[in-house]
Amino acid sequence: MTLDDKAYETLTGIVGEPWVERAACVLDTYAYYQNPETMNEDGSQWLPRPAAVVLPDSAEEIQEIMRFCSSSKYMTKPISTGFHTAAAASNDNTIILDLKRMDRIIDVDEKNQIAVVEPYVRAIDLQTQLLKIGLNCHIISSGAMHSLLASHAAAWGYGVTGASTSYSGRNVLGVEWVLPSGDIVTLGSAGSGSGWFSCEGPGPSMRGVMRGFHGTFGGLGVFTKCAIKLYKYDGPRSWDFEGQSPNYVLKEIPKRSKFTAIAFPSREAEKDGGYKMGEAELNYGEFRTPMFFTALGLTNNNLELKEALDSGLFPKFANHVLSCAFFAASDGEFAWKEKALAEILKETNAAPVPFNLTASVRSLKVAGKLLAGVKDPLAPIRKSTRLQRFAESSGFGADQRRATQSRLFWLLIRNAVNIQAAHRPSQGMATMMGAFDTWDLAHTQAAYSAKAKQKYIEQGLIIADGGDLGAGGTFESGHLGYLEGIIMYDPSNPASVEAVRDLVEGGLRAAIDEAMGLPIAGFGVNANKKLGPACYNYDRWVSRIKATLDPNMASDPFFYAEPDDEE
Amino acid sequence: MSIAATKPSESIAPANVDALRALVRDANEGGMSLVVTSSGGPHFKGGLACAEPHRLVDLSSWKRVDLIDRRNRVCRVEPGVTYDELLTALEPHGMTIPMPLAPRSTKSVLAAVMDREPSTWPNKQWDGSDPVGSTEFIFGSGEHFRTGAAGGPGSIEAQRKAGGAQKFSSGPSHTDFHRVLQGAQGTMGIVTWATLRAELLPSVEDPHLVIGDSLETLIPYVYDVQRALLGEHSFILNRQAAAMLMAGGDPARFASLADSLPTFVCLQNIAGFERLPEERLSYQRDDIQAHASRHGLKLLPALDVLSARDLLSRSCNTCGDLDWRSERQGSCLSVFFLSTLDRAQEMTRLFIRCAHDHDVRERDIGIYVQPIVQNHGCHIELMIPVDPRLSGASARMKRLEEDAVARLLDAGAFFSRPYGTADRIFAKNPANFALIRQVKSLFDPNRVLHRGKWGL
Amino acid sequence: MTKVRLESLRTEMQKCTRCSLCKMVPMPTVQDAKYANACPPVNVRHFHAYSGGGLQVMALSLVDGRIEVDEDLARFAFACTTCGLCDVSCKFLMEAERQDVILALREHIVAEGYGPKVHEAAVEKLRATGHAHGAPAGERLSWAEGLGLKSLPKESAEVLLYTGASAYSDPGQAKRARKLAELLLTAGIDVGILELEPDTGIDAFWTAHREAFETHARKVCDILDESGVKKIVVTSGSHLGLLRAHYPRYARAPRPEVVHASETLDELIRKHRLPLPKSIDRRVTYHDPCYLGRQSEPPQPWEGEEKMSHGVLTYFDPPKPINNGVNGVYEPPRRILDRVQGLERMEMHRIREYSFCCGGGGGVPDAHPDVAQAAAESRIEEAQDVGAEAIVTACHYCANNLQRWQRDATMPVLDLIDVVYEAAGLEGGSP
Repeated sequence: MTLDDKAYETLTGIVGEPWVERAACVLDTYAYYQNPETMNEDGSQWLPRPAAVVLPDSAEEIQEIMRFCSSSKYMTKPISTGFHTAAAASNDNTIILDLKRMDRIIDVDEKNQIAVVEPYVRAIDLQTQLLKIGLNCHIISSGAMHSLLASHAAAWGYGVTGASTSYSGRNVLGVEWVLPSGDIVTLGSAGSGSGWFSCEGPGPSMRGVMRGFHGTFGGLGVFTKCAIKLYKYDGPRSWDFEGQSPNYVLKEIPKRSKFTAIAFPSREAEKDGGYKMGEAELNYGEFRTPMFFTALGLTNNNLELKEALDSGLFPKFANHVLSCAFFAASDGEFAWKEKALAEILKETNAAPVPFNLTASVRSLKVAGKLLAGVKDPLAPIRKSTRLQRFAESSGFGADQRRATQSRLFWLLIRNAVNIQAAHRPSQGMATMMGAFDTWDLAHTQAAYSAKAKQKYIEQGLIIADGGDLGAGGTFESGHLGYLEGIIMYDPSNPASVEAVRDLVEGGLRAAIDEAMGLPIAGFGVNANKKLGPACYNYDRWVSRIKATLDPNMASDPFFYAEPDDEE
Repeated sequence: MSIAATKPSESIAPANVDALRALVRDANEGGMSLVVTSSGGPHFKGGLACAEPHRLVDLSSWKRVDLIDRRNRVCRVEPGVTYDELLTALEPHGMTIPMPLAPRSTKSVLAAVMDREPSTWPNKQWDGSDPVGSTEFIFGSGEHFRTGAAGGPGSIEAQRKAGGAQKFSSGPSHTDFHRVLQGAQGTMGIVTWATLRAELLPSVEDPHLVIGDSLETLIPYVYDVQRALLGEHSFILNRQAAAMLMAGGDPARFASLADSLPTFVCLQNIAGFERLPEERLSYQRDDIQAHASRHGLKLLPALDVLSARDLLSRSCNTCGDLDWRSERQGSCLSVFFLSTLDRAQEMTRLFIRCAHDHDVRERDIGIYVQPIVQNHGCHIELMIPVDPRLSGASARMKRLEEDAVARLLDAGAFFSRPYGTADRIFAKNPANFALIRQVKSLFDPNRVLHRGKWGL
Repeated sequence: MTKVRLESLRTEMQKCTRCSLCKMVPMPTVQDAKYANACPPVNVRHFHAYSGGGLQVMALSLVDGRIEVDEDLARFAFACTTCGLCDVSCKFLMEAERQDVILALREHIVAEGYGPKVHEAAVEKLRATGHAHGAPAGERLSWAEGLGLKSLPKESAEVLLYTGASAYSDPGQAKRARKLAELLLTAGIDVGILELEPDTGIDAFWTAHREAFETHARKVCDILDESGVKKIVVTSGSHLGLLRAHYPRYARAPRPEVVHASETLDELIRKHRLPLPKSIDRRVTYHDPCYLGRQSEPPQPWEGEEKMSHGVLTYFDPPKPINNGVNGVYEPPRRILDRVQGLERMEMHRIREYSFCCGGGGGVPDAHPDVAQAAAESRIEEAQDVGAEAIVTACHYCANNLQRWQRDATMPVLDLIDVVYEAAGLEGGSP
């Protein structure tokens, strides 16, 4: 139901007339998100049309809006960049709070490595500033156009530099939070007037109800500022590039930097390799790019991708590839890292994928034919460090090597090409499993996903990606790890959509039955009902929190919790 | 320093989780409040003090250390496990754990980590809640819960079979209840075990000292090294605090150290681990030396009266039955809070001025500055040893403490772990305290856990 | 027909993943976050509906019958300058046609009678007189007096100098046309002009009056063909894009090759046929006009199929050529400026295929002047940020819009032709 006139008057009185819209065409641009077909029972691409869209400019305006919603039938749903279905309203009484006008970087404390941001500060905005001073922020793997605040305070947090920049939910150093009641609370040191450096205390940390592995996705008020932990960055602080869309290439690969894709011979070797590299604190960026992703990353369009897959080469060497980047602050450090990596490659019988060879369709076709009878095309490189060094530093294929290394820079450091992987192949991407604990558990989940997908691959309902499209990596120097099972599907094909639903649902059940951790999709009212009983009834606890902090339902509950109705 | 307290009506040591839950159930059915302890005494921060009638629940006999997992660098401890017990259990697996500065031998590991005590190994602490992984706890309502990866699905055994190790601390799903338990000083739930993130035991170590006349001399160096995540254990002590720590209660040794040590001393440990340890140590030492040189400082393996190796050893082991702070005079006023390293000098000077107003000399004040969370913040601790037998000493220290806390609060010190009179601390953020009250009403609706603490 | 055309683009609309990259330059090119955003209406009005992605979704909503064409839809669709940045940004990562959907949506809105009223007068005049700003009367070619230019098609010439009828209504363009003619003559080019230049119809094109534009464009092509030249040199970047990229899509391409003045001048300078003896000591930056740059790529005919492989992997066979803006006219203006002695050229942050629109196109200055103003102000600020003292551009719409909103003319806007004319020493008479 579109906003009634009285409500419209109230809202325009708060934010000003230009910043409230209830035209149907506008509302529909907030009812359409990324691949929602798998969520909707009818397979539709549309989500509920909200009652209105409002663009506030301050926490105080939001406070007034929350108070209004607390005493009316309306509820709010805040969104920043809105790049996920979790940004959607769940019903037509929801007022979308589009926080685009709140785009200020409040502070960058270089010395203490802390940034304070408003909701619409995108990762690319802050990172561009930070890299110049040798710092970096954690960016999630959807790509750097995402909202930092949304990821840190209210959503998930996996990113391709997790090895060195952790997980968004673990990088929160303070939040300003407009509660559903309209009260504003600032958690941690900032709330006590001490500056933005700690989110814990005094006493028990309310960060514990603010988010967990999952955030509240707008279901428990609105976050209007967030202090995030920054990390050192020893990569290039500036760079020149050449080329044109889509192939921008660094003019020079920076000194003391390494971009590589390591092909392990087996899953076991890959697991061991991940742990070893983690313990050695080698990687800055690390992202698993199994066969399909490796082929995708080396091609510019889907015909090239098809030919690359048809060549038969990639399953032979790229089933277990970790794409990595590392830097060093000194020559000594770099030399040590190179030596450590060489040892690990030897111990795990792994090989760096030679970047100096052209991955054009023609060359792949030829190579595919020539190597048809060869089981392991990388065998010579595995055995010979000289060959590895040749591939990495010789003049032969230097431009090609630079181009591929550049791609890894854009992927692993700048997070500038990530969408391509998700949507170019078939315009539909879904994910399953993806629980966060250890690298071993990550692989258990990836193996499960690979097996579960086979049936649908055979039926031609999802992309034949080899099955194992487990994407992720190790985090915090190998202390943690995750892999989410990516599924590429056809959103216009109901059977393909149904296949995804089955897989995600099956994954949820398998996670419960086989103790594979709480999946990435384990959030929101429906999923919580399924997972809660297997996880100490956390669903009842979040419902209680919801009932206590949002008794009047001022925040759209769908992707978080509905109030506990059992009392 | 003490607050108003009644003695517990009795002390109970439940044998297991079921017995503990039964106690909690009884308390909810109109029984007395419960105050939980895991450490052996003597306690000196006053955290157990409870003005309401209560029973003391003693979990210090729960001594299990298990699920030691070298591959995933994690272990699990019950509440009564001490640092000595844990270090001994981990060593054969080539592991160790970041720990507070020379905790007393009876200190519970779990109590320390649940109190967010800072460790001396800052670059291993990625998040304020580290090294805590998953926990199991009992709500004040009596319900049972597990946080983090342990929260499920599945039993611990089933999770392990799948490759999990109960290491991830967040969750399940939208919850992060371990953070609510941490710092709650027993008011929100009773933790029955926690998994802890362990680290590799160094294969080679080459600790050094960096000395300076003031904190300002050392702080830029510490910023540079910590930002680069170089080195291992690191902290700063002034001569009094270093003497307190190293003297072991021997007055002569204390005097000698206090007279001879430089004004400030920074421990800088450098280490190599299993992989290419000597080479790692070598480049790290070079890089750290370069940072030191840039600030006109030197890495010193030893001073005449103190070696870095001794300081490292002392700091990474338990100090004995009595907390080292209290060894000199029997007790100690300890005022600690969080800030950022660049404000350490300002905060310590403020405390010294306040102490002066209460007739305490600067030379009697110990200063401990500990970077935390990869130096995104720092723990600052000001210590004044006190002989409680002296008439009026305790009262005098109480007045000093109240005055100092007030001045430090005004200057922006963040008392994240409130001990003593905490009203003023919570009053700095009333909206947050209101939230705490609401959460308390959920976690412990009948207020059975440490009833009345902080007004909850 | 407009509805049918829009419906045929449904697959393109559905490729939108709401990633919001359409609001910004391709991320690898971001060097300063202040200049990462590049969608003029979104920068000012903020609602997602203004963006390329938002327009895709509104089009889809219309096609799915969820909304009707109305004033609200028009309000959002016509705040777009049709600069094509969203199309380029999206194509950095996806094979999807954003601009096609946007143009089709606008055309359908106009066909349904909801186009901005403020655009109608010009289109009516175009229909009635063949000139959007009224049929030129009297001294149409006064700017060419004394130059001895051939009169086409009566006489024959190698090259047609064509202002797109802008010389009739824009005195600056008239002067510029004379300057270009002098430059070409100096270089020994055999130049002719049409006695009555046809209007290119750009007002109809980018206000989405499709039928009027198609009809008019065909007539223009006939006239240009009849001129008998092999090459047409246009003075304004906007006309280059229209003739080279959009005429073939809506009507047909004229037979003679169509080039922009910068392409011709660049060639002449490189071949030493047009010396530039005079030094101009100035720090300048070059603003890439959208329709000279990314919007000037001619359609590439493709006959193939979209197929599936490996389950549901979609691909075009043969590969479908994608116009992602990289083959626009970028180098010639830069080369020219780099050859002018004394001139120091600095690059702005948003350049080439990801240049930031000046705000002057799409009928936006009339329908949404605040958007046009904000875009111009942002561009001027960007020029100041890189240390330029003046902006050089190659499109009179850009020049006019960038100049219009400056309160105190702090950033002079020069046309490339003006700069070359001065550097050639022709200012104040022949060298």
